[in-house]
Amino acid sequence: MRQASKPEQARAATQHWWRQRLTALSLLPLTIWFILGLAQLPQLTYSGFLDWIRTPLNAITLGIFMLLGLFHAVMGLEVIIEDYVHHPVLRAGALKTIRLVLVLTEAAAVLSILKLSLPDAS
Amino acid sequence: MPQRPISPHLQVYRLPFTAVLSIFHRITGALLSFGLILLVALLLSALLGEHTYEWIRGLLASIPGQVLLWGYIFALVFHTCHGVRHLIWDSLRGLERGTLFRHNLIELVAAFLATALLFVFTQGLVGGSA
Repeated sequence: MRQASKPEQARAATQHWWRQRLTALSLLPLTIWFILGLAQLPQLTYSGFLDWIRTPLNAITLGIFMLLGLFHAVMGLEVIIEDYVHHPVLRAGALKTIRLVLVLTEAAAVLSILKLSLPDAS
Repeated sequence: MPQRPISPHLQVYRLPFTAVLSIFHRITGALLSFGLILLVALLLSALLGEHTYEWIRGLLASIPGQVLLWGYIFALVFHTCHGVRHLIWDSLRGLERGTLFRHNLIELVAAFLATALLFVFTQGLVGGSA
């Protein structure tokens, strides 16, 4: 396996640092919005939920929250993996796995929001 | 690699409270990540129709469901409150010992208060939780 050079590693680390902070900042208002919604979710009937998600602003905000949130979450998990998984092959495998999970979950989130908010799309 | 003995550390050292908050930030982060993936699965299941949605809603209304839901919400509120401090630290502010101590208290009170208020507020909206 090829090892990244020091300049590459430095660049990647700085990028990771900035992306973590920028997503965190963007997520501040979004998280407040999400928490308010999540707390009220149990009171929402199915038709109430559909009405909610068919409001374009809600669907879009939820989509952005999901994409930024998942990205921020996986970046955090990467750091945790790097800190605690010492075996190089296990660490590389865990990192690749969590990134794959990220892509799949993001796709699932976007697709389900689209399908729920646009009922006429088949 | 040969396992060499190391001195006890976590078992013997009394962590400063800031450190305790820090590890909780990491723990809540990890739990929230898996919870978020679960929430996406929940979103997907809404596509399966009203029956599935009502089934999940029933689960959420149960005692363990409520514990899980509000545990998640508290974790998210706590993680956000502590995360704000990280952003403050990133601007190189608030790193003095006195400020850290004060912010520890503020952060905890804010997290508990916000969750409690949200709980009271949302349960009061529709005559008590389901």
